[in-house]
Amino acid sequence: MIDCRFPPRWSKLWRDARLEKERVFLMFVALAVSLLAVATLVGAGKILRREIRTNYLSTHPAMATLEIDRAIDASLVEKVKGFAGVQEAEAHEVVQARVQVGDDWLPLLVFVTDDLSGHRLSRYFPQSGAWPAPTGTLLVERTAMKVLGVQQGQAVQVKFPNTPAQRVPVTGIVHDPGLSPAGQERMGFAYASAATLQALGEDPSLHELRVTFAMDLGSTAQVRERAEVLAQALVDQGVEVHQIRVPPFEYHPHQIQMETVLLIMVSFSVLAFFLSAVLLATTLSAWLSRQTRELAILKTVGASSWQITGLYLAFVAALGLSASVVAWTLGSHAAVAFAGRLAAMLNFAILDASIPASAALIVFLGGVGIPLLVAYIPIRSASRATVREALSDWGAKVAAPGSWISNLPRSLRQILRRPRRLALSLALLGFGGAVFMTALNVRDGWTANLDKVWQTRHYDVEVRFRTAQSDSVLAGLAGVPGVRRVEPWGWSPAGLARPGKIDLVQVWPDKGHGSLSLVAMPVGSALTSFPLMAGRRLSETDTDGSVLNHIAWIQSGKPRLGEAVLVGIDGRILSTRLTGVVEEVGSPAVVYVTPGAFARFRSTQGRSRMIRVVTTATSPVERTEILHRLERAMEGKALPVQMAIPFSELKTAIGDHMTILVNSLLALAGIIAAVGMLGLASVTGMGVLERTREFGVLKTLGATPKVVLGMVMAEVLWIGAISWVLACVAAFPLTWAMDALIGSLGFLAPLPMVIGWVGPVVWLVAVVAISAVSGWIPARRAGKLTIREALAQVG
Amino acid sequence: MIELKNLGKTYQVGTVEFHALRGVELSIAKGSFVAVVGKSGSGKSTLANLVAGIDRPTSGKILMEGADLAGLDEDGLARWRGQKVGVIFQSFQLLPTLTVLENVMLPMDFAGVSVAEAKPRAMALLAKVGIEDQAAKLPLSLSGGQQQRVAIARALANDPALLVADEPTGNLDTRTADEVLDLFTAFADQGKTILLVTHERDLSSRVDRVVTLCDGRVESDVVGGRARLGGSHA
Ligand SMILES: Nc1ncnc2c1ncn2[C@@H]1O[C@H](COP(=O)(O)OP(=O)(O)O)[C@@H](O)[C@H]1O
Ligand SMILES: [Mg+2]
Repeated sequence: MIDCRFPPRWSKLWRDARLEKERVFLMFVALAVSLLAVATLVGAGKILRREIRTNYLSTHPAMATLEIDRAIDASLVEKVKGFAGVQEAEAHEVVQARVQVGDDWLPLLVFVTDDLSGHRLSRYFPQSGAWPAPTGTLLVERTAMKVLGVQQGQAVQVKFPNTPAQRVPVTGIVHDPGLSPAGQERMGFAYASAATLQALGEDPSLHELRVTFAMDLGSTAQVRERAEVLAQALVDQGVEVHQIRVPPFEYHPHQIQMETVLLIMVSFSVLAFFLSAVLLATTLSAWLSRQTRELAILKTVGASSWQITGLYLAFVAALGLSASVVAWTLGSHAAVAFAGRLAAMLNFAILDASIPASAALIVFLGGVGIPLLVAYIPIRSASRATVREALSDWGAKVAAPGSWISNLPRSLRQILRRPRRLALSLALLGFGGAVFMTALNVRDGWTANLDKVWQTRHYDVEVRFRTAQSDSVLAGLAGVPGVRRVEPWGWSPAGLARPGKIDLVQVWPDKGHGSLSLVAMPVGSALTSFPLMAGRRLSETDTDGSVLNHIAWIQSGKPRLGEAVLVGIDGRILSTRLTGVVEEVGSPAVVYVTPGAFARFRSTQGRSRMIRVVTTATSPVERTEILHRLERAMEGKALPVQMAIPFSELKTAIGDHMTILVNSLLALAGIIAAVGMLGLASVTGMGVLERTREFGVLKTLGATPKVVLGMVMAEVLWIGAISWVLACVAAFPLTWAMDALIGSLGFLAPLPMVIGWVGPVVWLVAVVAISAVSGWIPARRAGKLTIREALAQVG
Repeated sequence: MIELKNLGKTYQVGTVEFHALRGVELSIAKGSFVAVVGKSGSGKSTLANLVAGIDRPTSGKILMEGADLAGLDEDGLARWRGQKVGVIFQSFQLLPTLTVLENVMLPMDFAGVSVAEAKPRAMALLAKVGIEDQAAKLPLSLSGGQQQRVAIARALANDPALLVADEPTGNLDTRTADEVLDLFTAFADQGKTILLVTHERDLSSRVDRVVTLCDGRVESDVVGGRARLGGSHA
């Protein structure tokens, strides 16, 4: 008996697909490669989101920190623990010291608790060395070791607030997953017991009361509410609470950064996959159009349009499924590796590298679903063609040439003959090109945004003092050789105030992330040039005016011009009116007021807490030398420096966050380009194949192979050229949208829109080259076919 | 019983309208064997397509057992065609990637018949048209006559009551054509209703009726030799 186990329609599908195996393989590769990128990024994202959370939570981060203005003793802690809803309470302190690295003094945050190894909140974990550290020594966060350039067992030179510089041994290394990596912050993180502070001659008292609350489902808002109630209760009992700090609930300070990077990459990988699905639809639609006659036969013998639709949808589903299997098999490994690299960058450990099943679900659902959705349209329209049209020799409808069409060059008329196919090919190529260009534009936009950090700041170093210093003393620093200008600025950490309530800020324990400063900028200062987003800058007479940088503007609920902005420091409130908003990339939130208003509010007439210094340096080496002289001069004048941030440090700090993003974006742009080019090659090849018969006819009319080749090349190049123009045009809105999305997540403001020329040029060259190659091969084959062979091809 | 009422078909070619059929009135009794003849371009294929439900009229009605075909949507028409009509073309229209056997099984597949049931039935049909030994081959390796036999077997797959054949012998030599026509006679004898489009005039002895078309109209409608011999089971 003859072997025939499958229903004949499936046998037909299977054998037809095998006849097309190169093209089917191309479709599969495009789907699998782009889906592999999706699987890697989605899988890594799932791991990272879970792990950053477990890591962060493993430190038992304080939900709220109350800044108390006297030393916290055990009885106060016990009292707070007794409050309803308080789960844990503990006294902490963060000392802003400075540490010498080479010739530079970098900021050093020293986290202090009574008991170095047994504390219950804001924990960290021993990596090596002493545990707990012997009194008089420091533990250092593992990412800070490199910043400080020390080895365990060596000593570092540290300036604490109240004592001269002294050498302190580093006896152990710890891992603190609650902080952003020291390298990215360009500062040191160290840990000491109160006893150590005392031994070093410093004030050992602790002022931060860190607490957690018992909550079923917590939220930042709920924590704020609880913290306010607690603080008010303490105030009522005579304990002075200066400020409440509530960082976003269970949110690592660099989580937003990670989310941004992941979002960018996932969106581009999804775009790449979408592109592959369009490639599939295009290829399929060409295949179906060659099958027109056979589909009509199927319908003649009783196939309904849904049976035919189902047949080809099954084909697409099978292709999508096999691509998903491959993508998932490889991608789940790649995801773990990628997550590992990103976790190392963010200084957290991957404790559990398993990928949640939801990632697999996304990959498989998307891997099968998106191709089905995209391919549905061409499949459905092919299955609905009426039988008579397909079978009669009256053939394909030829668009009645309108007058404008007949004026076009012949090759252009030729490609307009099949408008639907043309539209699909152009969509495929145009979309591919646009995404490719957008990926490069976004990268450039990101870089340009970072460039703003230095384009808008025209000073070499910013120095902050522990207390306001006499302006005349500060002005004397201008005499240091190489210092061109010293501008005293008013500066103070602050919070957005609510009348009648204790100041509440959303600052993480490192005091940098989420912070807000009140700054008095000398009117007319040329040291910054942040672009105005709304309103106007402050003038001398704006005694109650304020300018917010965009971060502060968003934090304060996007007030309108003229609306009140209340700033609180130590329980006092400065009431201002919004006169303008500036875009300030690379800083936390800042509220600017006039020096007069600042001095009145802080009672600091003739004194300032910050200077911004311009040097005459023309090279980094020279600048460093000048800064060292400045440092010595400040020491000579006994100025209590809290931190000095050379501008170049800020540059590197932000630049460091970038490399992985840029590289991954380029890799994704490469995948997109490859899929687009596969598409072009496949579309071109098919177009030529389909017209083999037509070329046969042309040859009977005397066309030489050369003429046929020329015709094909002209048409292919037309498609390439039109798609290129479309891609360039489409890249605008796409870049705009991505810049807005990524900028608002990463910087709270859209990235500057950069439209690069490299993308279009590379794409143009690639389109021309691939069109040429992929048109030339089949065209030459077609040109060489004998007339009889050509005409025998089933049309 | 098939009734064509005032049937008309107009093709639109560019801006010009072409009337391929005008006001055709015809009723075909169940079990009768009708030949449609006429010059090339007289509208024979158009008529066959309308009766087979491959195309729709622009005016008039086609009633099958009293029901108007216009009441069916495209998919309904396809299902109806699969169950009730066998269509045979001049150019065979076999699927090149399917074997002879699979080609014959195809209509059963779409009608929901399982492979296990379809296979013996298809073999039996191939035996009936005399090419069961070719079952495993691909159609293009067969001769024209053999291919048309496959097409006929396929048309019979779901045991339809009506066969519509548009010049089934047009691509065949005289002897093969005769053999194929013998097959049709045999099916007519088994009670199938057959509409056979042909330009072979000397067919009248084999059929019940000969309908002659000219410029889209019925020019004559005469009784054939088969009816006079009482071959029809009307
Ligand atoms: N799809 C079509 N579009 C336009 N005219 C058509 C089409 N099909 C057939 N015709 C015209 O209709 C007339 C009848 O055609 P047809 O039924 O094929 O005739 P026959 O089969 O008798 O040769 C012919 O003149 C033909 O030119
Ligand atoms: Mg005809």
